[in-house]
Amino acid sequence: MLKLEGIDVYYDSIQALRNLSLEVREGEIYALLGANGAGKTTTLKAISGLLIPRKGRIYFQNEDITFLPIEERVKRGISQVPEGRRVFGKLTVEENLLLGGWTKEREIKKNLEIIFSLFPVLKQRLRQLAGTLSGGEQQMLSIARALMSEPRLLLLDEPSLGLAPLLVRDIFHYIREINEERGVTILVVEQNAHMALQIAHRGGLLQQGELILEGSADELKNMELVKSAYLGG
Amino acid sequence: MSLFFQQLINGLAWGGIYALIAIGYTMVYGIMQLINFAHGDVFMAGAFAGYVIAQLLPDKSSLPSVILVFLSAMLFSTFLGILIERLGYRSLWKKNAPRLSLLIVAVAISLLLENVGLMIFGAAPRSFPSIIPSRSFSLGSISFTNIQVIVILSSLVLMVALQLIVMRTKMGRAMRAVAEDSEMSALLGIPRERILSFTFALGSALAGVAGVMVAIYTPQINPLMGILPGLKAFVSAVLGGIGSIPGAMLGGFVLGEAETLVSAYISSSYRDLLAFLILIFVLLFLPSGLLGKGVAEKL
Repeated sequence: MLKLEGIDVYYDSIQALRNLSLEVREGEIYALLGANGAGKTTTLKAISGLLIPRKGRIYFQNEDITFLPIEERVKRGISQVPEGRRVFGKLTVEENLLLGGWTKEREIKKNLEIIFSLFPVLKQRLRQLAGTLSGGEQQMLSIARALMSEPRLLLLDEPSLGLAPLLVRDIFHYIREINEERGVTILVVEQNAHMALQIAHRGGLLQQGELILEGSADELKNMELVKSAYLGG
Repeated sequence: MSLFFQQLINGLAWGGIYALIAIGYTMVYGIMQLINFAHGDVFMAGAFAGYVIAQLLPDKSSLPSVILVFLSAMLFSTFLGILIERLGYRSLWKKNAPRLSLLIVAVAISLLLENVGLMIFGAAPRSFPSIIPSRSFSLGSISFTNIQVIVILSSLVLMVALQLIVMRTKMGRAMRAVAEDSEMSALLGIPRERILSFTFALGSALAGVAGVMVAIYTPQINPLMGILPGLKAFVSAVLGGIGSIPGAMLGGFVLGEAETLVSAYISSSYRDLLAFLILIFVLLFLPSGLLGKGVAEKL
């Protein structure tokens, strides 16, 4: 469904991704693991269009999207939930959701119903300013907002960051539900490798901008390198 | 005491005008962190567009003529505002150019508009046709004109309309989102360029109306008439807290009132000085303005 072919991405003169190739298959949850600065977020930004690779190609559903504008990619079904949630704090929860549905205006009503069945708590908070929500609620809102565009591929950047352990479990439960029940393919970037590998089907390990390991979630869990560096022994 | 109330009325009219112009400054700043110094000249262009149309009309003071003059001023400045954004700012904005580059472009466009105005209309002030004949009323010892009332009421109506657009419509919602987090808006598929155009269109339309109001109120126009009201509206926006629309409205009225009170009780020669004293004072002691969102800028 999504294919990166040998992409190089730079921030000005600093190279962040080196010849990265990666494939995410339809219907799966793919966990991209790695330490801080390994290039995980950069990979997502290249897919969503915030960064354009200097070399290589990105294909989505067999179409070359390497140079497409961000909005065009959203229309085709790629939606990113960036790190730090980034809800519009001065807008209400409802306004945040409506903006999420910008590209699927006709389906807004239907999609809101889906969101409310998935995250009932948001329904009670519709008129509240998003900035006044708790961290966990903001994360839900951020994911819900992304779902309003009916993505086929959801890019999640550190969904567990800054959340209490119990909430982390909830969020990962939701992610799995979105994948299983809504059939959304998910590419999740996580430092919390333990949680990520519990829900993922496959995954890969980034180090200094290169993909050094790839495999099924079970395989990865048992690899020495992953165990020692990311699963705490 | 009656002098005081008399001055309050006078101040309200100028306040409404400053507020209308200030809204354009503050909305554009909210989205691209640019002080659009060409905005005062869009206001001037609106006045001239109204002037040209008024010259063409046979029955200048009929209601349809008045409406036509205002509408054409609005349309022309809207068009000009969109053009300025499109040709002047957009490519720089998309490239994330330094703010200073945008500011220099703004000053250049301002000079360009003023000089094109001078080329076409000359430097001598022209008297604006009296499309609304002035009539005075008095209420006790306070007197006011129908033009003042029209200026005050219509600026209020326009501000309410703007507030409705910004708070209740889809485009307004997107404007607020882009102002808060432009990159995130793009990730939701919101076309940022279109939102920016829309913002310029709204601000410029209000400036165009303000241009005709000043033209009727003073009642003369010249190609450099945008400079001082433009700067004062900028001061109003800063005073109210740049980026905040209610702030720009409040700032405009506060400045309008302060100016007329100063010219009534101290000396009218200090009138223009006041705005800049306020600017310095606000920048030093109240940098986020009356209704600003605090000093902490988003990263």
